[in-house]
Amino acid sequence: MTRDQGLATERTALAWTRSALALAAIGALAVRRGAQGDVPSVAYPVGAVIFGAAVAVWMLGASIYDRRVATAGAHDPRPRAMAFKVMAIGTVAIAVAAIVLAVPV
Amino acid sequence: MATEGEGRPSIAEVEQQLREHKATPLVECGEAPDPRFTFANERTFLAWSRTALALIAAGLAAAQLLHFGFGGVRLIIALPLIALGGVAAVTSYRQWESNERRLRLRLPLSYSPVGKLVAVGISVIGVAAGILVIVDLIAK
Repeated sequence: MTRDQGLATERTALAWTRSALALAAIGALAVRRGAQGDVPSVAYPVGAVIFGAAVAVWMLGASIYDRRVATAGAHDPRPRAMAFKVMAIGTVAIAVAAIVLAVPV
Repeated sequence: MATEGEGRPSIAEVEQQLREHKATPLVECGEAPDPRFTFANERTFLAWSRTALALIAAGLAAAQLLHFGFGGVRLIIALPLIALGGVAAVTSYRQWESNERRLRLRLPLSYSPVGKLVAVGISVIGVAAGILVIVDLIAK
């Protein structure tokens, strides 16, 4: 049981890392698309926000993992809603950027 | 998650409990669940988030790579895909929070509406894409 919980912690940490990478990758795709159009000036700040969200998700995910490893004996798997919010809002931001970037060309 | 000897709570009881704890911050709700369940809930949210990102990427690719006779037509494929990704991201967050609350209150979990949403959305977009390809071929 204890052993399986340890692996579940690790699987979850890996899922956070994967999600942060996906956020950064799709964000880069959207920004590259924007930079090819007429308005690269808009693309770069949007890219900075999305990249910032990816870094935040990565760090929050890592801190959740660290705390879980540290408190494994105390059975405190408390989620940090902030990480989930940043992930969801980051994805919506990319969707909005994608719509804006898709329409003009 | 019915406790021993009590049987399953009725739907009305579940809804009553959820209403009572609607405004309570998550960590003050009920008690910490089995870590494996809360981790599984967390990974489900993350998997849906990545699915949402994949839908958005597909929409961007459609906007960039499709070339139908009339320029704007590709947006019929691209925009619904991107919108579906955005909706999936929001819905999966709500679903995560709802199920985390239910886990902490020892209530039965709710089924996710995201699966049906994405399945229906992709089906409709797929049919539309098929029709557009055929119409485009005939027009040429």
